[in-house]
Amino acid sequence: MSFIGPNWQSMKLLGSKVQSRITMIDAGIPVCPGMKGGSKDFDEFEKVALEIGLPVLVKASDGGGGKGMRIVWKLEELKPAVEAAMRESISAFGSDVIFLEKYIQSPRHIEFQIACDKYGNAIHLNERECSIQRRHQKIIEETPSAIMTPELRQKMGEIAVRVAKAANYDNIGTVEFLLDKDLNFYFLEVNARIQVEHPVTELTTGIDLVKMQVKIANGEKLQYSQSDIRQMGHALECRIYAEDPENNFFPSPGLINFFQEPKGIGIRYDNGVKQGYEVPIHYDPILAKLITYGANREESRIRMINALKENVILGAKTSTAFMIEVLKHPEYIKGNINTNFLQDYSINAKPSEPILDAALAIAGLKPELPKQRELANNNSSLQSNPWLEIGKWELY
Amino acid sequence: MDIKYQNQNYNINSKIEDGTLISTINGKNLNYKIEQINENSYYVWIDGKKNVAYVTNDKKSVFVWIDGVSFKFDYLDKEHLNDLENTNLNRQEVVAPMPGSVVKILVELGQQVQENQPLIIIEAMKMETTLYSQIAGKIKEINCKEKEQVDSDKVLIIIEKDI
Repeated sequence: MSFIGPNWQSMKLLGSKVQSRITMIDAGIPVCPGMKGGSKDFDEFEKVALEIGLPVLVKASDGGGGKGMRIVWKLEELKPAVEAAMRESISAFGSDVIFLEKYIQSPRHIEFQIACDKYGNAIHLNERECSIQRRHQKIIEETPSAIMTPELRQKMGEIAVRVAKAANYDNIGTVEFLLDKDLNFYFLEVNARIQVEHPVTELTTGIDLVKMQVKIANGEKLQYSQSDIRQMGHALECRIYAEDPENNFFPSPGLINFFQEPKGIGIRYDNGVKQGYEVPIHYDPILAKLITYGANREESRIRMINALKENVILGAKTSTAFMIEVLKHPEYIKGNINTNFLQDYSINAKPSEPILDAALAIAGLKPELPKQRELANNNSSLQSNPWLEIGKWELY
Repeated sequence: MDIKYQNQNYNINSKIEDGTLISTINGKNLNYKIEQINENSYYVWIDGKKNVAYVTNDKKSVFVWIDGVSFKFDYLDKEHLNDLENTNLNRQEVVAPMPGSVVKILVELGQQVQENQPLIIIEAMKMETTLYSQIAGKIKEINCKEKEQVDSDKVLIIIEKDI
């Protein structure tokens, strides 16, 4: 029985950020300037900070989840920041080993899809930009990236393939980079799996990535060489989350009593819910992925706004209106985005007064149900069971 | 009918006559050209623009969708309205904002707390929320335990001001 995914040694290596960083530094891959390992020596910290230049990020070597991290803007803040990070790190991880990295301001998150077979062949399938994020969670992804040029794509793509080879990777995965304002890029980490946003790559390359995963696991050679990979049009993905934009985007569970799927040319909807479905509290609040495709970025952007408006979901709140505001923002249209976009522009999805008034007026047409009666089709909520709904199977 | 939205109460009276939605909201009169499509949707003209509005309801709330914006309005019955009018500033009922599970209770029965003190951590859909006290007082009741699953609006903790 074969596992459909990378070999375990590669997965183990790439699962540790520190280990990955050391491997890539040794392989000559550009990483965020900074210390290779941890330290407790204040003089060394000051020396490194001056070498790499402020601002710097103080990080806990054994850390995660943002704990033990501090941004330092001025040299006099360095010692207190290191001391605080050490205390937090001891308390949370039992270790006081700290290291410094250059703090990249307002970076763009650019990742490359890679595919490697078990015979040493490796290619990339172009980039995805995932800069629109909230609380480090991706919300909107697209390909091609508005900032990308053919030269930069070739440079970064080659590095992505080298990363895969340095980690002895096989099957498909994603190499993540941060791109700064001067178009310098730095290796961040590898996601050793297929990702939520993979459809945008499928639509612009014409390649079925899931099928490719199975074929590679089955021992087949990669059927494409790098020059076979095309890039056509533009694709955009919005993640539909059950969250309440008016309550700090907290998860909004509930029973979906009305659901309409968006349809039409250039629309792909990867859906997990239907009418009558009870959004459970046990998992991540993603309901569906809405992907649009167009000849260019403008076309897929307009298609997405229309599709979002048609994707009516009632019973659980969604942040659809918020995503529409992002897509309509002048800076988004120009392609000037980075991971601080949502904070920088305080996108406001508060409903306008005319819309609120109309909504209240319409609501007035549905008075409270008498206590005894239950809604006709609402006696039992449906749980989605993918095993009962599996579609086509293919034989190899 | 009365509903609550974003901590405000609205009294709404709506009816459709001759293709017009006539509505009074907290005393304000509004008219819209309207055409019903089916049980849950209408064409409605807002500032001259034609929109499709979707509306559903369940026992607790009305849900409306217009132009990509989704609303949840909670029904208020007369008794509840009176409660809100007589808000007791000497007592706070800390309720679960969403269905989830209790991660940690940060206070004890009988403990004195200040305003804005963290009381309890709830977890739902991989997100943690901390609930805070709005008044200073003593923890009078704790109606839940750690690891328990709670429903939305369940009263978890009651604080009473010492008089």
